[in-house]
Amino acid sequence: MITPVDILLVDDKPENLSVLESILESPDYRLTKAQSAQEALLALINTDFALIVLDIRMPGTSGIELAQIIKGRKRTREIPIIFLTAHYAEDEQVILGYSAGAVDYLTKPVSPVILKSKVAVFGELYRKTKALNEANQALNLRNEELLAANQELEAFSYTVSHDLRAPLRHVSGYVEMLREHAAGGLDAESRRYLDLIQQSAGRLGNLIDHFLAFGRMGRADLNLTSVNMEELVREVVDEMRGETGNRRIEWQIGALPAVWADADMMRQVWINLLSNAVKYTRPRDLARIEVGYDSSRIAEHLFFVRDNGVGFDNQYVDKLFGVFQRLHKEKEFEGTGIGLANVRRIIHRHGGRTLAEGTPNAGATISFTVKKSESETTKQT
Amino acid sequence: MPVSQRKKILLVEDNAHDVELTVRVLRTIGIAADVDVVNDGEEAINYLYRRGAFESRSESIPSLVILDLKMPKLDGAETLAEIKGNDRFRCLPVVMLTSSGETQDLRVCYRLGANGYVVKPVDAKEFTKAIKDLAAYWLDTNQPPPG
Repeated sequence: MITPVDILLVDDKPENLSVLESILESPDYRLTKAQSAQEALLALINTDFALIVLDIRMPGTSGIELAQIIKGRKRTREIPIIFLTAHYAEDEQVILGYSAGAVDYLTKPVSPVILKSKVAVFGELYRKTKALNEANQALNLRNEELLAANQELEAFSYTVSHDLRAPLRHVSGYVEMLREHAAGGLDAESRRYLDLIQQSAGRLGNLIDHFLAFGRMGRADLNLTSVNMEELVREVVDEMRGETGNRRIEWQIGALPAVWADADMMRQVWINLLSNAVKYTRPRDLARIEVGYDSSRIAEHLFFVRDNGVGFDNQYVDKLFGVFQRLHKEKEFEGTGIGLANVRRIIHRHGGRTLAEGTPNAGATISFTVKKSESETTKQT
Repeated sequence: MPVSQRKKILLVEDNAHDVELTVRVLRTIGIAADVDVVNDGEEAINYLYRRGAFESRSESIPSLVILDLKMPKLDGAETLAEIKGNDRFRCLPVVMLTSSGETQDLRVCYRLGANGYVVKPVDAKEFTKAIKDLAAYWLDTNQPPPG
C-alpha cells in the first residue's frame, strides 16, 4: 500500500472546499482544508504538503498574497500550487509570473477529470522526489560508512606496520645475540635451527612490508605525466644488471610509446614484470625476454613481456594476479606472492587490464593495457 | 670541547627489547660514548631540562638524541617539536628511529626539524648496521655548528 500524500485545499467558501474534497476523495491523498490564508499558513507549519490547491480570490489575504508568502519561505518554497480562478483573463499575468512547473491553474467551474489528473501528476512527482531524496540520503550514509571503514583500514595497516614489526625485530635480534653469546657451545644442528628462525623472521618481515606497500599503492594519489615506457624499461633492465650479470639473457626491447600514467607506479609495474621474467627463466641456459607493444589497438596501449621460462598452466591463470597467490613452490622460486597483485592494482587504477598466458615449461606472456587519453585516440582516427 | 670528553647519546625508547638491542649495538661501535636511556618523551624533556628525576644530572647536553616515534604520554613527534622549538636545543641532532615507514610520519618529522629518520630494520644484521651508521655519522663525521 502507498502512504497517502498530503494535499492542502484553500478556499474561503465551505461549499467549494466540499466540492474539491469529493472530487479528490481517494486513499492516495490525505486532504486538509483551510478557509483562509491564516488557516492555510497554520496547516503549512505542521504538515509537509505535496501540493496546494488555492483559490485566487479570497477576502482578506488573497490567494495571490498567500502564494507569495509560501514561495518566500524556504520550507514551503518548493510546494507546487494549482490556482483556481474564475476570471482567467484578469489573473493571467499573476499566474504566468510564477516560474513554470511549480505553478499551474484551473478555471472555475472546475472539471473533476482535469483536476484529478493534475493532482495525480503532482502527487506522483512528490512521491518520486521523496523516494529519490531518501535513496540519496541512504547513499550518502553508505559513503560515510565506506569512508570510515577506509580510515579504519588505514589505521589498521599503520598499527600492523608498527606492532608486527617490533616483535619480529626482537626475534631476529635475540637470535643474533644468542649466536654470539653461545658461540662455541652450539653444535651444527643448533646453529641450523638459529639460521632457520632467522630466515623465517626475515621472510615474515618481507611479507609485512609487501603487504603494507600493497595497501599504500591502493590509496596513493595518481600523479599523471607522460611516461616514456621504452626509456623506463631500459632503465629497469639496467638496474637489474647486478642480479643478471652472470647469466646469459637475451633482451629484446621493441619500440614502446609514451603513455599518460603515474611514473613511479609504472616503474613498479616494470620492475615486477621484468624481475619475474628474470626469475622464472633461471633454469634456462639462454634466457630470452622480449618486451613488446601491440600498436593495433584503438582505445588502449597494450604492452607485453614474453619469456622462455618455466611458464605456468593456463588453468591457474586466475590465481596469477591474486594477493599472496603463488604458482610455484617457494623452494624453487622465492617471492611473497604480491608482485603481480600489485601490478594488477596499479593497472586497474590506470583504467587498464592485465592478461597472462602460459605454457608449462615453455614460457609465459604477461600483458597489460593502459587506456589511451582522448587526444591519443583522436590522433589514431 | 676537550677531545678526551666522552660523548653522550640520549636514547628515547619505551620498548625494553628495543632498548637492549640498540644499547648493545651502541656499545660496540668503537666510538667512546655513554648511552642514557629514558622511556618516553616526557622523561626525555625532563632529562634535557634537568627537571624531576633528572635534577641532579650533570649539565652536559648529549651529542645525539635517538628518538622513537610511537611512545606513551609525549610521543616522538611532540618531543621533537619541543626540542627543536627551544633555542638551547635547536642544534642538538635528533634522529628518529622508528618502526613506521609511513610517508606521513617521515614528512611530519622532517617538517618538525628531525636531523634524520631511520626505519628500524627487522633483520638483526641490517639493524646493527643502521644503528652503527647513524651513530658514526652523528658522533664522528658530523661537526656541530660553532658556538
